[in-house]
Amino acid sequence: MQLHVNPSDELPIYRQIMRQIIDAVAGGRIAPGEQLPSHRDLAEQLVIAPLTVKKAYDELERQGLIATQRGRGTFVSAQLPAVKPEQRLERLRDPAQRLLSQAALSGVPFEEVLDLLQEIRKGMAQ
Amino acid sequence: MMLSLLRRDPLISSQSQKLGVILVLNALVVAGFVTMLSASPGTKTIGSFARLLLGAIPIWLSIFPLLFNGKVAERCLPFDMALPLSARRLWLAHVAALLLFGLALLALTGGILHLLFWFLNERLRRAPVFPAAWISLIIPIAASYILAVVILQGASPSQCRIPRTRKYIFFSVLVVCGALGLVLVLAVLPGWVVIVPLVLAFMLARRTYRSVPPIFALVPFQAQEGGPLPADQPGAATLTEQAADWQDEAAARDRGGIGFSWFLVRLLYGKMAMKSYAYFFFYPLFILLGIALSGFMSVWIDLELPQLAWLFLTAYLLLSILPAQMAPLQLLALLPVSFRRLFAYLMLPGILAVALGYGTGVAGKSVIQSSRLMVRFQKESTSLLPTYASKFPQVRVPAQYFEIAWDGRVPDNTSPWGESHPARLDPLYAGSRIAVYTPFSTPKDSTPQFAALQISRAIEAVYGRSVSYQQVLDRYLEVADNAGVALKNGGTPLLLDYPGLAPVGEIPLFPVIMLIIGGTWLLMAAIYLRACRATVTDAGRKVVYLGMLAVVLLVNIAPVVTTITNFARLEVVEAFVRVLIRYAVVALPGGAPMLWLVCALPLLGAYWLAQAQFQRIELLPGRP
Amino acid sequence: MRVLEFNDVHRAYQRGSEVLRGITFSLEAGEVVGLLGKNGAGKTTLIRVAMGMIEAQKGSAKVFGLDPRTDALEVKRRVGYVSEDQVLPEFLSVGEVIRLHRGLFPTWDENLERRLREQFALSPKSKIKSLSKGQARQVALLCAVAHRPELLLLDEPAGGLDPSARREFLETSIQLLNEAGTTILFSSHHMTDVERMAGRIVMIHEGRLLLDNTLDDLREKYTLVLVPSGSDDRHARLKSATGCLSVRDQGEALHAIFSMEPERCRSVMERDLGIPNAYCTPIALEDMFIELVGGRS
Repeated sequence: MQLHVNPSDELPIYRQIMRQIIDAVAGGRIAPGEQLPSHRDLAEQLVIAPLTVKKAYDELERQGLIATQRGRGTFVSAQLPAVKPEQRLERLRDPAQRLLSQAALSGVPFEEVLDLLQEIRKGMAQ
Repeated sequence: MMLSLLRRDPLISSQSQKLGVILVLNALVVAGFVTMLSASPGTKTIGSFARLLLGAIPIWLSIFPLLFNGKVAERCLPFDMALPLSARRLWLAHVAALLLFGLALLALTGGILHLLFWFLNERLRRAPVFPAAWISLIIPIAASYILAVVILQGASPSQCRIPRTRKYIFFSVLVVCGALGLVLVLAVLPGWVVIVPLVLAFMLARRTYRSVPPIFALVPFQAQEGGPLPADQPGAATLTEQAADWQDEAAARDRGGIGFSWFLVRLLYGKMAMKSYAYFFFYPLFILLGIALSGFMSVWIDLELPQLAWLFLTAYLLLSILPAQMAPLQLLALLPVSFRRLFAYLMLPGILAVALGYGTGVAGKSVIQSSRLMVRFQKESTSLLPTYASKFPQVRVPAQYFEIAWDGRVPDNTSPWGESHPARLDPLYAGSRIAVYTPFSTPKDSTPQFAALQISRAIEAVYGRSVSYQQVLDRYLEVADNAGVALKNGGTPLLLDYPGLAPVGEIPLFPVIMLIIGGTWLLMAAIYLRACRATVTDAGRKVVYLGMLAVVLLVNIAPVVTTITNFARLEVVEAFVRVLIRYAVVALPGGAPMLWLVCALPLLGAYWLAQAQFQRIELLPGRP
Repeated sequence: MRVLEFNDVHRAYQRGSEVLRGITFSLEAGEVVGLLGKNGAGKTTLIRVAMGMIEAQKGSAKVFGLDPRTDALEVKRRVGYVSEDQVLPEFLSVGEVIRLHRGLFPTWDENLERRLREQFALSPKSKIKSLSKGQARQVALLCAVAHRPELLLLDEPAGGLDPSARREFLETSIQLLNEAGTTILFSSHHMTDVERMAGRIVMIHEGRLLLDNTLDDLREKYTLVLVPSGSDDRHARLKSATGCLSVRDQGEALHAIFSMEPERCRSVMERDLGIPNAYCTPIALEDMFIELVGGRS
């Protein structure tokens, strides 16, 4: 799994890491139970401060998405935590807002946006 | 055009701010030194060649060390090489700059000396020994300087910068010393011979000029394409070679029990101070000064040279290397080296060199003194007081055996048979009541018996041996027909009669000398170090430094001036100091060791003070 | 334990113009703090005070609880220092420089030294004056870290280096962080480097502390507000609003920095200040720097 961070992004680095890991898990690129690199290794790989990686991992662990086993390493949780139904939808609101604003600015009609979403869903399933 | 090239020459532009100061300081030092020598009456007695040497050396010292300045090897700025100027013209400009600088220095020194001697001759009617001989030294010195410059600039004509390898430095030293020899040779030969080195210089210059290529090279020319690269260019060694190098380095580190302290000292004085070869010049000089301070020279060449007058000159020279020594501190101040250790490494070697020279001088002195009688009876003065020449012989002894008359009155010298004569008094300074006198004087109308009595008293005082005056009269004095009296053979029969005769009452001059030199120097160092803070600008620090030098120089020259104007003769002052020390040794409880302690304590205090200032220095990068 | 502590530090080089005017902040063990400020703002002076190279005229600086001037030896043994204007003596060879440092630091780690030597491909015989700037800096870095210091003081360590040399420097620093949890205070003009390494930012302007926040806070809790210039007194209103750090007039628009999240900022703009079409966005470090200390104010 390749992570990449952009230090100048408006999103803090630890959030970028979190998002990429979440995306990878959601997209199936990392399977539940698979091992993640230690925060020191990831720090050296990405050339960022180890504390930043630790912050990302700590936050992911708090959300229950990953778990650290002493002496063995950090793993994606075998069972992803249940998300409250209200929260589920709420989490999608911001990305949806951005998607539709972008479409509106580019003059893309709503139907074509829906077609795009279908296409992406097909790609993810494969 | 040439003028602007001259102005921008690396040497001129780097020294130009200090130009005025250097010229004046140099001229004053030389003038003071030479005048001091000439004012000393004993110099009349030395041979003309020795006189020449004594005159030539200080003047030679004032311009030739210039040739060791790093800027001498830089022919032009790399920037100048981009200009449409031929390298030959740049070379010529550089040589011209060197010549102009050195000769200007020489001319100014000569001018000041000329003025000084005119002043002495016209106003004070004293004729120093050197003037004509000295002025005639200028031409040979100028000629050999010109030749030396041309020879040195003949190296590596194709380079913009002469590579300052060990070989070149050694070569420079040879040329500079050879130049001194040339000066002496030219001074002895008739005047027109000076043309010879000038012609040689011209021919050599022409040859070098011809071999300068149209454009200078910045780096040494690589002989062939694809040839081996010099060893210290990065990328030259492969990884395995590097690994091997590191193995060697590790082995060198562990080998031979060379302590880390020695490594540090080597760095401090060698590699880190590479830019100033001052160390090779100054440390031998300190040793020589130590020898001079011990009075060795006075005894060896039998010439009255002021001994205590070197004190402040030594302090001046010790101070003058301090700024250069501070250069390695920029790195070391960042590292965990104890500041006490650093301070000791920086400060102690100089003063120890002086002490070493002093010890050597004292040892040498005792060897010579054992073969000569320290009590003389003669008309001319050499290395013993009183220093005036007299029409009738005087008993002459080392300075400390004189006495001080605090109120200017002194009892007459008496004899068992009733003959008595007044003693001669030398006031400490014009109009003073304090006077120095000898209890062994023999005025004009004294009889040979009286002379014998005074000699026997002197022998008792100096050697602690009681030799009756009758014995002196019978065995050691010869009375000529015209009533001239003299010691037979300079007193050698007495030495033979009493083998193992050794002077008593040697005064511990060393602690006093060390206190004056060390105390002065450490206090000045403390002031300078106080100015090495970030709040003081470079200009401000220079002002402080030069100000102190100026004060020391004035103090140095003062005895010369007072001696020449007969206000306070240097030899009287020196005698006074020595007698005082003798009195102190007698008066202090504990005697000589107590004197050592009394002198050591303020010295340690000054060291502590300077060290405290050293701890608080703030060295910022880029500043000296 | 406070590794580094500045307490109301004042320093002037010339009478009347202070370079540091009362700086107060501290570093705990393991923190990485980026020191930002314009050239001449006092960053170098501050680091020099911490190193004991100069004195604090008022206030105090403490390293490991010790005074860096009076306990210089103890402090320097545990601190590593790299600076852009560091002077390595030209005529020494690389081997001699390393040997000098090795002999002076009791905690010298020979394995680390060897590893770094091989990584930087240094040859012991090369003279310092024949090294490139990047290589000389590498030697300095080796000497600064090989004794495993508890605190690293870096004064524009990557200044003048090409991007790959800068990256190498970063990587070495991160290795050190990983292995030993060294506390680092570094000043730099390369914002990306600062964003990668620093957990906290301290910004100094004209000798005074302007900001002392974690990088994440700066990203999440500060907002850049762009307001079109109007004829009313919006400049003054913005400036006097609570949470406003600075307002700059850029001709067509006003740039302002507020210490609140973008959403809250948007509502403040609309409701409290009556400026409807304000553009509120998170702000990158470089822009923050320019807004607060740079340009025409």
